[in-house]
Amino acid sequence: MHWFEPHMDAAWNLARWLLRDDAAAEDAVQESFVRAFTALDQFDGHNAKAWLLTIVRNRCYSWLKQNATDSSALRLDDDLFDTDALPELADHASPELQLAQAETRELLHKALAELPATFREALILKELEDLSYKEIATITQVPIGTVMSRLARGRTLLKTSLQRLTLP
Amino acid sequence: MTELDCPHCRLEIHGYLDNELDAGAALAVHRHLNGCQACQDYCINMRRTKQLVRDGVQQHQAPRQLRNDILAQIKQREAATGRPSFAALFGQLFAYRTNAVTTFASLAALVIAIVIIALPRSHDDQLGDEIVSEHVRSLLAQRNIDVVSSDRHTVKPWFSGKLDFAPPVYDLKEQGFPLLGGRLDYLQAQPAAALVYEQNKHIIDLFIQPVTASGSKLPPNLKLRGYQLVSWQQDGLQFIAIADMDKEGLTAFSAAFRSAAAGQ
Repeated sequence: MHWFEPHMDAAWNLARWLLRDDAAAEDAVQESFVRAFTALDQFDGHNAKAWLLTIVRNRCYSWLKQNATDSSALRLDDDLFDTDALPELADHASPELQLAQAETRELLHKALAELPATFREALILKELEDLSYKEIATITQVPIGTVMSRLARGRTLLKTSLQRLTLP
Repeated sequence: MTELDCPHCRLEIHGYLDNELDAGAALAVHRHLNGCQACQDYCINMRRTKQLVRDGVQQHQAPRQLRNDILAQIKQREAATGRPSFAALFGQLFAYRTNAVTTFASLAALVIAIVIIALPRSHDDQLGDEIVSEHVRSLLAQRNIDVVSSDRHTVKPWFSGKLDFAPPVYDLKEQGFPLLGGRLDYLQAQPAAALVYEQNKHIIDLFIQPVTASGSKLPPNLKLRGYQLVSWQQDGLQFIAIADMDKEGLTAFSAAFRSAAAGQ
């Protein structure tokens, strides 16, 4: 087992969800791990997963910037959390998704894919990789408070978007 | 305690659902939720959304081919990170031979290159590099312990049959260095015991190998690529400790280990 293997799935999952393109994700993960190999002496020995995911994430953002066709794909100006701007949920009595499992999954993927990258990555790192706010803060290079506000906005936007998709 | 207003509560609810709030902040959220139906509904909605993402979002699995591609690239780099080949430097000399100035510069470079290549790299340097690499890789792969135990009576027998020598094992918990376990490693192409200790989240690897006539020796203290190495010999064995600690900290570890050995 090589040193990078335990973290391959996490790296791939993050790159795949950020870039939404198999070929681009393959390039990003490959370049990141080779880059990590040449910079092994910069690793502080504490959290290999966070260190590797930071490199992968930076690589993905460079790709997104190079390939941004419209600026909305990459919104980075969300860092200041405006509590007044937190969207209200539409008060449908029960927004429970009354849909078949496969259809729910498809809608969920669509809604998640539509989120700005900063919210999407926060949700992926929290719910799929089960990382702490501190680890997510390290990887995404923002304060811990920003991680919480991004998750707040991400979940609220996701919920709103799911309601819109299920109740046209 | 200050009362939370609704907008702040709706932010804190996320830290609450993710178990990231301290007791005081969690209590403030609790108190607000008890008196506010709207925020309670929001909290229920967010808990559902959180669960939906956890259960419903696909975890992408890395393609098998990607692993092989990365491995091939790293192997290639590993082969290339030796010293530059003589042929490459020689080729460079003639590629740039365009005028007197560059010719002179190239000749100077060639002389330097020959000196660098001709100087044999010391085995001791190689051993130090190898130890740093093994230490970093074991931390990266999070496979730094094959036998997890703080009990030396478990760790010591684990090595028998795997090594042709019996490494001494002590738990140094009382001295501030709890034993986490051990693993089998290789140094200079020979099997070595690696004991893993911890101090305040710093991982200390202690490599143990028999002293051989041809084997390399390290200076007692060595700083290499940001890591501290401390080495000593005892009873025909070479001990090399490595950690991202300062010299004093790691010397205290070696002193603790040696006094435990003396007490046996």
